[in-house]
Amino acid sequence: MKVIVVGSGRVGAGLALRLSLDGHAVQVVDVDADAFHRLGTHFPGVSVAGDGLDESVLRAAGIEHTDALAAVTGSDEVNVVLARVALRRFRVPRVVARVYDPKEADVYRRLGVQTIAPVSWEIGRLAELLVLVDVAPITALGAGQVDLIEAIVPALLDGRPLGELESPGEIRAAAVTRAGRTFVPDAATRVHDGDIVSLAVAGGGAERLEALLGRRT
Amino acid sequence: MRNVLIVGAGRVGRSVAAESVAAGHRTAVLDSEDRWVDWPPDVVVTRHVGSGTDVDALERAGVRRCDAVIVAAESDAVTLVAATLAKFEFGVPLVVARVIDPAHRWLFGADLGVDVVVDDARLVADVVTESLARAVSR
Repeated sequence: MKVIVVGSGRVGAGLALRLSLDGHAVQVVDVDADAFHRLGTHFPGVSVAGDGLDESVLRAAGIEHTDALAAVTGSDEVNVVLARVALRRFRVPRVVARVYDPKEADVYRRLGVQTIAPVSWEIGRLAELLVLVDVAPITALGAGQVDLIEAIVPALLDGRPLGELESPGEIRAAAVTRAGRTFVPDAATRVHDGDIVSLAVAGGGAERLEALLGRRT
Repeated sequence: MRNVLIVGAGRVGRSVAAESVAAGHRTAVLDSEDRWVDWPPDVVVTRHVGSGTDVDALERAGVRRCDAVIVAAESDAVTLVAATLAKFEFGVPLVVARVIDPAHRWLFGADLGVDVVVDDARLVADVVTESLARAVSR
């Protein structure tokens, strides 16, 4: 696919590198040519120095023929304007804008701009990790037959073999995070109170996991 | 008497506010706190502190009752977002927006909520061109 990334900050450059690694033709636009240093020396895509709200710059980046555009500059307003213009004027099929202000992100979504609000995402994630839930779904794998779930080990399981949380064909531990360090467990791993265990759980396995964690009897 | 909201208390916002008040319109101005410091005391408007891209601030400033919103914010992107919100979120009948950078002039259209564009660089150029033409033909 042809993809335009506007904004070569940490996220923009990271996204551009990742997409080009996956084989996509990437054009990166940034008003500050120095920002392209984040792309490194082996970036196979094209970098265009210029104002992302300047029509000639967008055309130079190929906006008329691009399949997707990510608006990830440091300014929420620039990202929203850019996304709307890409959608409405150039009919770019896939457009995403990053918006830091979570309150505004909802409004822009109503206005037809697909937004990603890293702040609310991060807050939710931090809250999960800190206090709110003991068992948090991280992502669905495949078509959702298997979920990746994080569970916080309760005190009553302190010192027990990790294998006690597993169930053949249903639940498999993939990683353990302890005191800020994450590792892949082996057959001898025992869990500690407060460990975060990442588990691949097949549909239907979630209830069993809760039982194994002592939340259901 | 009409309800007019001006977003941006800068140079342009002030001049527009003065005219709007003189014409007898109920005039409100919305801008962040620090841009209110040297507001001329003789231009009496309802002052609102907040950002033109914040829906709650726009609402507090009475955007729903407005016949017209004039946006002259500190950046073109902020102006365009405020114009988009005024038109599509609040249904303001007339949205006027000021362009700062001529390279952004193409963005100021109906799809971003703008009914009337004010391009001051263009206006100055037109006046200069006209005066020169008149001077030459004289």
